[in-house]
Amino acid sequence: MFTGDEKVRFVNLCRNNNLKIWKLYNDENAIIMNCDKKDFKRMKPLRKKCHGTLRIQKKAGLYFKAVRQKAHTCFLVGILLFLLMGKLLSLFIWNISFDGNYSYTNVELMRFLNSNKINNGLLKSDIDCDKIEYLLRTNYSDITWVSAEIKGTKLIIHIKENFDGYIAKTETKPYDIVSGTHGVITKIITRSGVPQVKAGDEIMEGQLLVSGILDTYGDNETFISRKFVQADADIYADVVLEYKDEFELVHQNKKYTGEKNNIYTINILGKKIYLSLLQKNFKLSDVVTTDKQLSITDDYYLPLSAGKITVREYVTDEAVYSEEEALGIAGNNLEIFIKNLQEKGIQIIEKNVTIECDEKFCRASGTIKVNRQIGDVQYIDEEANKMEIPQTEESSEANE
Amino acid sequence: MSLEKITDTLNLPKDIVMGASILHLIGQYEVYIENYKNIIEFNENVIKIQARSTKIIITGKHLHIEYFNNDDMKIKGRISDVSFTV
Repeated sequence: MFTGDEKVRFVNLCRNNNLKIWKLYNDENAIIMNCDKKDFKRMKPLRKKCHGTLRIQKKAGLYFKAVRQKAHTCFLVGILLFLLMGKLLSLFIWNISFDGNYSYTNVELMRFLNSNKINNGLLKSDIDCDKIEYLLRTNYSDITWVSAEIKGTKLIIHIKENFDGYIAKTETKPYDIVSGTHGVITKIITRSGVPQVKAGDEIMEGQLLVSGILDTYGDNETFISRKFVQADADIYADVVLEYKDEFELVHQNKKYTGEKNNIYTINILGKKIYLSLLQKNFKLSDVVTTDKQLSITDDYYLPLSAGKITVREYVTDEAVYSEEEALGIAGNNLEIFIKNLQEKGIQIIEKNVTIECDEKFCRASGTIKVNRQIGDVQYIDEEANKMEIPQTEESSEANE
Repeated sequence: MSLEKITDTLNLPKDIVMGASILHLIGQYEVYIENYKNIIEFNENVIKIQARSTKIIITGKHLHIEYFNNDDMKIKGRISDVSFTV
């Protein structure tokens, strides 16, 4: 705050001397303004020129805050400890997540990693991403691609699964492709092996589709050599699937009584601490457990999680589905079944399902005609299929 | 021929050739001034600024200078009048 008669002159002098001032307010005989610490010192000679007084009303900003906190050594020690802890905790892995897995659940993959001594709390430097990738690829044949990366304190495993029935070629033994079902071939593209069927052929279960035995014949159809390969083909066929669904009309209805117990938990470094005890014992109850791991950023997880276990009591009473309800449920089940097939890339051609209800049961049965990829691996017994090269007359004569 | 007429004829910017002040008014809350020399009067009802050839008088209530430097300045408050005198 500058007080004096020549306050406007003071402001103009500040500007001419390139002093940075802002937010100027007039207050009777004074001007209240904001300025930097170093500019305040440079104002003193200007103040003399203008015959006024300068007074600091309020100190604001990070610098002054830090100076004010100097006395509070505990506070500074706290900050230092916090930073040290943060650095220390960032040396470990505190969260493992999976991405891209559909048929394998997180729990299953986690269990597999744990069995291979890869778990939370491991030093980041001890983690070998290449080894994790190799382990997953070799143990799960239908995982076609794995990539493990460490981000912050998080180990992220990206997975790509096999959907089209392709088998990762870890095997070296030769094999045929045989049919696992009865149907009519619609399309066959052979990459390796000798196709034994063509589009339009009706096939039976166990029938050879693509042979892994490659025979070579000479000009006059004389056998020259036999080679064993791993048959590889995309084979699509119209297949009839049996559909059967049955449920009782009498069922148990679940009704929540509204009574519940909440148990709060804290998980520190893998150890669970219960903050409250189970107060009531319920005869029938649902248990819902939620756990939220604390994280500073998206990738910086801490070995600390807070959880809640909710135990909700329920009672059951017997109820009977009406015919309409039963038909609705059966129809819904059929829709889910079809939707699951479609999600796997199976094309539905025709469905012929009837739903009937009697006094006790509701039954849905029939057939669903689909077009899907078929083909199972059948290993070739090389010894049994070995063929001797027939000796020609010339060679037998030479032997004699 | 006066300087004003020459700049008009040649279509030259007056702020560069004549050193005319540029004023931007934002409603009656803010005024942004370029090309000024110094402040002549400053209180919460009137701010008088010396430009190159004129004086700019801004009247209103609760007037204050948000910032100012060698090139421009911004005045905030409830502005009621902006006038020029020689």
